Amino acid sequence: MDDLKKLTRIILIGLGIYMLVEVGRPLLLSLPYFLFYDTSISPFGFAYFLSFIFAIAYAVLIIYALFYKANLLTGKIVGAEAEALNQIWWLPFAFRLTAVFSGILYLYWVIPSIVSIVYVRLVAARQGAIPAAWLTWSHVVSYIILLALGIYLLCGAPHFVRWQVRKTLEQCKEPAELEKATGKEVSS
Amino acid sequence: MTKMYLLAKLTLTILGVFILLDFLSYLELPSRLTKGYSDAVVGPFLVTVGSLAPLCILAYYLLFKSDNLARKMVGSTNEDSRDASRIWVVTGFRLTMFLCGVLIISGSIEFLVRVAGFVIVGPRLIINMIFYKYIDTAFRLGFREWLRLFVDVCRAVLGIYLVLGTPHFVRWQIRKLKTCSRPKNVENQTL
Repeated sequence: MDDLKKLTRIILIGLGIYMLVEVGRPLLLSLPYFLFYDTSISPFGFAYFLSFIFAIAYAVLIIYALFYKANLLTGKIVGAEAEALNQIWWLPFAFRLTAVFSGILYLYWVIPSIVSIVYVRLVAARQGAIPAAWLTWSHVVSYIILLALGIYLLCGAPHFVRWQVRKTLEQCKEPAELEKATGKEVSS
Repeated sequence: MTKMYLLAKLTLTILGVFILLDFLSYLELPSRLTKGYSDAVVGPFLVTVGSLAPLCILAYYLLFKSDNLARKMVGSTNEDSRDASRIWVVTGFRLTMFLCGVLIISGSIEFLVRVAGFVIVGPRLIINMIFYKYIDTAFRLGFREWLRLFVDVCRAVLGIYLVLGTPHFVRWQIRKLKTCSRPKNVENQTL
């Protein structure tokens, strides 16, 4: 179980570092522009900058949580000790790890966008700097759905994992059922 | 089938899925090339077909005919001949397809929201079309827009199918792996 927790930690910290590099690179590249060329940042530019800051904060939070509060997340992904008695205990673990991995990525994509949407809607549009009709309803709704999906996946997507495990086991049982149904021995 | 062979197959399948996605994304290319140049249609069309065909062939090869390549990737199985049981194969394929699907569908959420919106207002538009002979601007799309719609539909359907674990594809892979010949130096066959 401890090995699995370590594996989970390594994978998720790797993802956190990837996010940090991914978001830090354009920020570093655009820093000279902000510092030397254009001192007056447009509302769009500020929204962009704000979303960068939130993305970095999110990546740092994930890495911090995995370094210092590792048991909090990895324990939930690996599952209870009682589950280890089951022969296929690794099956829900694998699906749960994939779900959490995807959830962290989803939130990494959606949090900066939501921050910039909120800023544009609530601050810039009220000041008249940006037309209120800049964002379409489908844009906003899709980000809300992505946020909800990200949170659900980060929680380990319990219903979906259960469904996937059931379907996987069903697919594994097929030859035996075929044998039972046909009455003939199915060579494996 | 050894676990290393399964790993190689899974890697090639993931590559195949993303190349297929690339192929779908580039389907829009002919309309972009011909935009504003209505006279020059044949040239850009041929160039696009020429550049898309290798992608399509590669995706087909990686998804459906990658056994030989996977065997070559694994190399000699003397050192590691641990067999992969059926549950490993099914889980491996379903898991990788689920991950690919989740990543693909994140880009299709807005399209799905628009589809849901259309389902709500669509009947009214269709009734208008039938009774009042009025064609809404929503249906007045050019070739480029129809092509983009087609690509979006394909991407969303692919994403949903992958998230559901591609049951038909997994079943087909298992059937194929069962019948395909194993490397000669491995005696014990589990699958």
